[in-house]
Amino acid sequence: MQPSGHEITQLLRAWSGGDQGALERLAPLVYAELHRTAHRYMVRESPDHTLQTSALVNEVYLRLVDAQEVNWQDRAHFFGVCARLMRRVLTDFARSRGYLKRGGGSPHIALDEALVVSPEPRADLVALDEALNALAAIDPRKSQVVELRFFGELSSEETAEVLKVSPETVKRDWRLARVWLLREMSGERCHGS
Amino acid sequence: MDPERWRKIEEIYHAALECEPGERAAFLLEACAGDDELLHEAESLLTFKERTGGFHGCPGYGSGC
Repeated sequence: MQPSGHEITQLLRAWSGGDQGALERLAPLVYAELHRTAHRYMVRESPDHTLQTSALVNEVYLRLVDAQEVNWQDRAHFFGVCARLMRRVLTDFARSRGYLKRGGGSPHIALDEALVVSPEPRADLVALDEALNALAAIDPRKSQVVELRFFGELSSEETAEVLKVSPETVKRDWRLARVWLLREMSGERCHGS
Repeated sequence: MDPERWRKIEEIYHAALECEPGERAAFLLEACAGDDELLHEAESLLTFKERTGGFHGCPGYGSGC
């Protein structure tokens, strides 16, 4: 049975308060709704039917959560879990369409524009996903900052709340991570030991 | 790359951005103290930042950039 908005809101609040078990129960519920909503946009035939990921997440938020009951910190946590799941939904979609990692050349993703969900998935999302995994291996927090800001379109302040660091740290992390990822995706990186 | 080394690169990268353009090369040489790999990595990131527009043009993220 689909849990009520109130139940989901309680799980969200418990997770924001540090209860990791609540996140484990919350994530599958959010994933199902996000997946369903994203696919509705992806399977439309006209490429004109696009939607910014932030609008999509907002749609899911309003459907699942009792917005009256949550404060901005809980809302940031909800968008945080959505960002992670959104990365999975979009990357899996790009892979299922047969897109492979791009080999070298300039990356198409500039990491400075709003991400869009559309029937034409961007092949470079696969490259970004792999570059983010590589970044996570040396600096997990920076990888999370990009995930939250790019896939969830969280603000620096919301990202800071989810990661429990200062907004200044988020901004610094974002700037360096962006350059690192663009270089990684361009294939120009000199892999040292 | 080991995380400690990455933190060092990060520190040098941010400090180099604070330098006047004319002083950056000298700063990097001093900060890397003969460690060519470190120097190469820091220079590579700084070059890429210049090339990709660095901090400019983040319409999707408001003042956060």
